[in-house]
Amino acid sequence: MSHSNTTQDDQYQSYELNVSHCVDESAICAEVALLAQSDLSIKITLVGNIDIDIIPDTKNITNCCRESFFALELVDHTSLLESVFVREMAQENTVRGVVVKRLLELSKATTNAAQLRIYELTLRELLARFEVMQGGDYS
Amino acid sequence: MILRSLELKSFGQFVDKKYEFRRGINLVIGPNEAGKSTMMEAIPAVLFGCKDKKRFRPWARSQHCSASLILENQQYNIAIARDIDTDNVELCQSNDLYQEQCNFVATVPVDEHCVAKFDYLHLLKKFLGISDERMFRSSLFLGQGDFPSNSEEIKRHMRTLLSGFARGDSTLVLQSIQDDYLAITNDAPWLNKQVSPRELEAVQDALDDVYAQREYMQQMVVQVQQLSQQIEQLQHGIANDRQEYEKGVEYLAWIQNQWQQESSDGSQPADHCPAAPASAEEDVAPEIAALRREHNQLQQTLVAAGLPTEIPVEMPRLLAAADGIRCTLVALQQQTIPLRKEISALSFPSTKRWLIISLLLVAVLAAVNYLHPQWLVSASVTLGLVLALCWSRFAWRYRRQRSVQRQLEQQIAAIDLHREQERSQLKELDDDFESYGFASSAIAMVKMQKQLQGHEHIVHRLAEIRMILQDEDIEVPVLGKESDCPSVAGQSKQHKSCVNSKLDDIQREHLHPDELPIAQQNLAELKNNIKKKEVELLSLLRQEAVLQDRLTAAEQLGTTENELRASLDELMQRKEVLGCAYTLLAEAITEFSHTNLRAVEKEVGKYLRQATLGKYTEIEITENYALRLRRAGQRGKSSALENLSRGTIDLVCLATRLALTRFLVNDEYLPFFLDDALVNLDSDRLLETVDALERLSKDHQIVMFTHDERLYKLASRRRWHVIPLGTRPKRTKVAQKAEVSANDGQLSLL
Repeated sequence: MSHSNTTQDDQYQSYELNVSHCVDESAICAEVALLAQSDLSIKITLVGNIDIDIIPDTKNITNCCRESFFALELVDHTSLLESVFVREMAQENTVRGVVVKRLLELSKATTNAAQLRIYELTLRELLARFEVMQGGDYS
Repeated sequence: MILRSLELKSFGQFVDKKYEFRRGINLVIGPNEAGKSTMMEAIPAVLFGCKDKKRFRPWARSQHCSASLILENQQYNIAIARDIDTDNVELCQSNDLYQEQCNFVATVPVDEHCVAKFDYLHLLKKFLGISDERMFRSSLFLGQGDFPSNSEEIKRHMRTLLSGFARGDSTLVLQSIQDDYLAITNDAPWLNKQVSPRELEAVQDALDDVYAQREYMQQMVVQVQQLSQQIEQLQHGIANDRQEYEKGVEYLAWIQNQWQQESSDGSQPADHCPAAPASAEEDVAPEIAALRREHNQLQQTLVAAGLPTEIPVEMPRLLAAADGIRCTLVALQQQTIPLRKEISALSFPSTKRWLIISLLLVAVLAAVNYLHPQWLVSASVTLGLVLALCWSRFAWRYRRQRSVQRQLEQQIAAIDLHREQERSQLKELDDDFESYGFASSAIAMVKMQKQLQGHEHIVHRLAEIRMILQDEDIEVPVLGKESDCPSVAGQSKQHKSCVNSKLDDIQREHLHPDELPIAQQNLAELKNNIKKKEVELLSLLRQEAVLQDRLTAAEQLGTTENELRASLDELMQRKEVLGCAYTLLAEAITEFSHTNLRAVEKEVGKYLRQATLGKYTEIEITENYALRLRRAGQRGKSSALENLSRGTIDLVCLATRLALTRFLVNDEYLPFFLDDALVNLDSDRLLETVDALERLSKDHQIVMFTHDERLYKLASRRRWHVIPLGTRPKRTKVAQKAEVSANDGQLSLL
C-alpha cells in the first residue's frame, strides 16, 4: 500500500491512495478500509495504473466503506491509459488498436490535466461500450 | 500450427484420456452426451482457464481436474498444461528437435490480474498470436447456429472482429455514442441537421435564469445595503436631534430660570451651568477615573454647600456672629410686631361728631333767639357750658391717646435703632464673607453652617485623593476650571469679576428673553422634524424587512445554482468525453478502412479463391463492410454477396473467418474448430462446404466435432482422422459397401 500527499482542507482531510497493485474492487475496498476512523472526514483520491477489469466504481466502494468513516468522498483519478493492457491493445491491428494508439499519442502530447482526464474517460467510455455491445460484464 | 494432442484427466467424463490429432481434417464423432463439447471446451479451458471450476469437475472424484495440450508448427512445439482447480499452468516451448527453449510455470488465476497472468498471456500472444479468450472463441470456434444465414451476419461479424472485440461492432458503438451525445446536447459539429435543445442546453438555460435572478438579487443586496446605510444615518440623525432637543429644552428651562432670577433679585444669574463639560476621564485607568470622579463629586458637594476647600479661621466665628445677629434681628422683628399692632389699635376721638353736636347747639341757640329772644342769654350760657364740657372731654381723650402713641413710637424707634445697629454689624459680617469669596445671603450662610460639619471629612478625603493622583503624576482636576462656573471659582476676590463676566457672557452669548419664544418655536420644529424622521425610519425598516425576506428566499437559489452547476459540469464533461470518443472512433474506423481493409480484402480473396476452386478470385469490402465478389475473368464486374447462393455465402463465411483470424494473429495458421456447425446444412451445401474445408485444411488444421453420420461417411471416404467418442455409430449399408470396396482395392494392391 502506498499513500501520499496527505493534505487538509476546510472540510476534508485529503488522501491519495495508490491502487495499482489491487487485483479487484474488493481489494480497493480493503485498502480504503485500512484508513477507517469513525471520526474522520476524508476525501480519498484513487490513483495509479489499473486494468480494465478493475476500474473502480467509486459509488460501490463508498457504499461499502461509508460506515467506517464519519464522511467519505472518493475520487477516481486512476489511469487506464498507462496500463500494460492498453499498451498491448495499441499494438493490435484493429479499430480499437487505432483508437488506443491515437489516444496514447494525444495523451502524451498534452500536459493539461483536465484534457488528460477527458482522454482517460474517453478510453473508458469506448471500452465500456464495446464490452457492453459484446455482452461483457464491464459496466 | 496444429493441435497435436489433448490430454484430459478427471475432466468431465474423461478420467484419463489422451487424444492425438493430425494435420488436415480431424473428425471427433460420437453420439450426444459422448463428451464432444467437453472435449472442445477443454481447449480454451487449458489456454485461458475456466471461471466455473465445478463445470468440469467429475462427480465423486477427489483428483484435480486438469488438461493439457500440445500445439506445434514448423518451428516449435508448445505444451500447455493447466490444473483447472488451482489454475497452475505450465507452458513449455521447445524447438523442432524437442529442445526446451521456454518454460513457464505459475499460477494464472482467471479472475485476477497479476504479473504471472500478464506474462502468460504475453507468451500466448507471442506463440499463438491471440491472448483473448473471447476473440479466440469468436474467430476460431464455429458452433451450431454460428454459421451465417445471410450476408448481413457476415458483415457484422467482420466489423466486430476488425473492431478488436468478439462481438463489439464499431459501427453500433459509434451510433450509440452519437445517440448519447445528441441526448445531451444539440451541439454536434458532425451532424448537419438541427435538433431541438437537449439536456445540456436546458441546464444552461436554467443556469442563465439563475444568473439573472442572482444579478437581481445582487441589486437587491445593494438596495438593502443602501437602505441599511440610510437607516443608520437616520437613526443617528434622530438620536442627535433628540439629544439636541433635550439639551434645548434643558437650556431653555435653565435660561428662563436665569433670567427670572436676574429679574427677581438682580443678582448674579447662575450658580451652575446647564451643561457641564465632559470630563477627560475616558483616557485614564478605571481606578484613576473613579478617584477623579470622587474628587469632582466631593468638590461639587463643596460647591453645592458654598464652601471652599480651604476654610478661613474666622469663618466659624463669623458664621456664629452672623447667626446671632440674624437671631437678634428676628427677635427685634418679633418685638416690633405687637407694638405696631398697638399703634394701629389706638383710637383717637372723632372731631366730626363733636362738630355736629356743636352745630346743633348753635342751631338750637338760633332757634331760641328767633322764637324766644328773651331766653337768648340763658340759652347761650347753657349751651356755651355744654359745648365747653364736650370739647374739654374731647381734648382730654385726644391728649391721652396721643401720649400713648408717642410712647409706642418711641419704643419702636428704639427697636429700629437696635435693628439698624444689628444690620450694620451684619453688613460688616457680609463684607467679611464676601471678602473671603463667600455668598453673603442668609440662605447660603445657613447652608454653609450646616455643611461646615461634614466639611472636615470632605476636605480630608479630597486631600487623600489629591495625594494619590499626584503620586500617579496625574493632573488634579479643579472643578470649575474648565467650566468657568462662577460658584466654584469663587475662592478669591476674582469671584465678583467672574460673576460679572459670566453675566456679561450670558447677556452676550445666551439668548435674551425676547429670543426665547423663537427658540421655543425652533424646538417645536425640531420635535416635528424628529417625528417625521421616525415615520421615514419606520418606512425604511419595513422596506428592509421585505427585501431581507426576499434575500432569505434567495438562499434556495444558491442551492439550485449549485445543483445546476454540478449538473452542467457533469454534462459538459460527458459531452467532451462523448465528442472525443465519437471523433476518435470515427477517425479510427476511417483510418483502419484506408490502411487495412485492402490487406483484409487480399487475405479474404486468397481464402475465397482456395475455397471456391478459383471460381471467385477477388472480393471487395466497402467502408460499411458490404462484400462484393468478383468472378474469375470478369474484371470490373462484381456481385453483391446477398445476391449469391447460400452455398457461396457459406464459403465466403469460412473464407472471411479464417482470413480475419490470420490477419488478426499476424499470419499464423491456427486450428479451426467446428462444433456441429454443419449439422443443419442440406446434403448439397454440406458437400460443398466440406469440399471447401478440405481445401482450406491444407493450411489450417480443421477439427470438427459432430454426431452427423454423413460426415462420418465422408471421413471414411476421404480418409480424415477420426476420433470416435463413446459408441461408434452404426454403419449404413452404403458405408459398409464403400469401406469394403476401399478395402478390396487395398487388398488387391497388397
